[in-house]
Amino acid sequence: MELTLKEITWAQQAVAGDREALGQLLKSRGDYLYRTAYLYVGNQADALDVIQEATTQAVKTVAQLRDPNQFFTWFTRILIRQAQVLYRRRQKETTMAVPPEQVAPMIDATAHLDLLAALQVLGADYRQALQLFYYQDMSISEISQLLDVPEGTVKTRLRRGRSALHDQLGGNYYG
Amino acid sequence: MDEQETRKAVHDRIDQLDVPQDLVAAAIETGIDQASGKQVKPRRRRHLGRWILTAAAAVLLGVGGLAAVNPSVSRALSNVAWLTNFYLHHDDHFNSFHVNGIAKSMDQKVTSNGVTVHLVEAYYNGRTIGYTGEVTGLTKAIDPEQDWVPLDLDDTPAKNLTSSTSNFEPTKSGFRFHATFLVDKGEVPESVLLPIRISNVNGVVGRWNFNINLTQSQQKHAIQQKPYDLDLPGGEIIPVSMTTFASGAEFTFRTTTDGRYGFIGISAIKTAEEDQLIDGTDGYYASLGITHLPLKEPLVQGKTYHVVYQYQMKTDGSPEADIVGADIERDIVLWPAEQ
Repeated sequence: MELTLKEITWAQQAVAGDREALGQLLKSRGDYLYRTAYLYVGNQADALDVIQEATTQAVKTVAQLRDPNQFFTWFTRILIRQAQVLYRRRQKETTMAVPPEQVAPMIDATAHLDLLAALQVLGADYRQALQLFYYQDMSISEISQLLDVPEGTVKTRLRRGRSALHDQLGGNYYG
Repeated sequence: MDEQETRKAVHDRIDQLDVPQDLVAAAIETGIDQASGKQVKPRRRRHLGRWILTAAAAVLLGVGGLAAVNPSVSRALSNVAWLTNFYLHHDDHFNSFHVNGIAKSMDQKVTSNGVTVHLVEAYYNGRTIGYTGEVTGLTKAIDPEQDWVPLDLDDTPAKNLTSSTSNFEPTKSGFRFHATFLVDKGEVPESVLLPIRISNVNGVVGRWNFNINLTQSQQKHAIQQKPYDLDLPGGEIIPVSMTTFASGAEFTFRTTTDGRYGFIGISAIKTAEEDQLIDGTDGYYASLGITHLPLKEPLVQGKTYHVVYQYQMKTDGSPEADIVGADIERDIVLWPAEQ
């Protein structure tokens, strides 16, 4: 993800220990962070928890970031790990086999997002691979590094994920 | 569809996902505070009980008593059969939300692990927000004698929103419930997003999530900020604004002191007919500085009211010192005609 000049300045300041700059930087991409978290956990409250915990982790470790230009790649890794932790905790909490969480629409609800719904019913590994590849625009090599799994595993997850989505959506996506 | 087209389609779809930007910013700020070792206010999780907490920690002036309640329940908007009886069964305070024509019917329902939470009515007027709902599907009945029900509820993320009252009554397979909140500081927003997150209902773990978007219209009039003539050396009461809601109104004023007073406030506003205009139903915060005084009806510009104001004076200026106070009555035009 390319950073703007302003964001690069904030990232450099954040690495130097400026927490206000870190906050500004994260807020500048708040939409992206929220959507990334939401795609994992499937509801607003948990997505906000993930952002909060990831921010705390980032504050504690940002001094170790060697290349400020890679800030969001680095932060996305933290965000996804936090999302995985929460996702697994929720899986344990659910004592019965139930469909994914039902979230009642707001009174003035927006249109139903069939792609999101389809992603929610996929296994976490497949959802993760598809999301990183198609939404975060990462290469197979980058995903492999991010998740610490071989590139072959990423390819397999993408292939199976596409197939599962194809079944869910009737072939409109992922060819 | 090739890879590029697929990517674009995915982005287009995911970018439709609404982002609660204020809440995201708040989560980032909280995350930073948390790393700094600052005490972070946890997202509120509480049990639902039969309790009424009136403006805790507020200086509550002596205007006790509930507002007059229109008993005409037939004006209720909701078509839920049990709702009228639920309110009648409880006190007038709850009943008033249902009958004054401001409550809005809802039909939001979430089922998790066999337990359904159904929200049926919402209320937003002035500084009060409320919702009413029903839980069904519990296999273990609620003891009618118990005065609280386990319900892990997280429903107050909005700034300046505090929990005010709640109540419930058991049914055969669950319970009906009602909860209210107060906007306790600052301006009354035109709209409030109230996320409700329930994670445990009487021992059943699950997730029942709702987002209620509430709006209200209000008319605000700025008042010329000229201090009232109170004969209160070193202290002033200065009008700020008059706001009219769908039901009731709010008079905002500011009190100042040169240091000799610990408190200055208004405790009664009466018409010529001796009707008290201050609405003490939910209590209100009053202290030096800005006070938002709830009224049963708006003030009339140019009209003289019989006002009782109070002060407490520090005897030696130290916070520990004993204080003396007094009530003073005076006829005042609270909202002067514009010059």
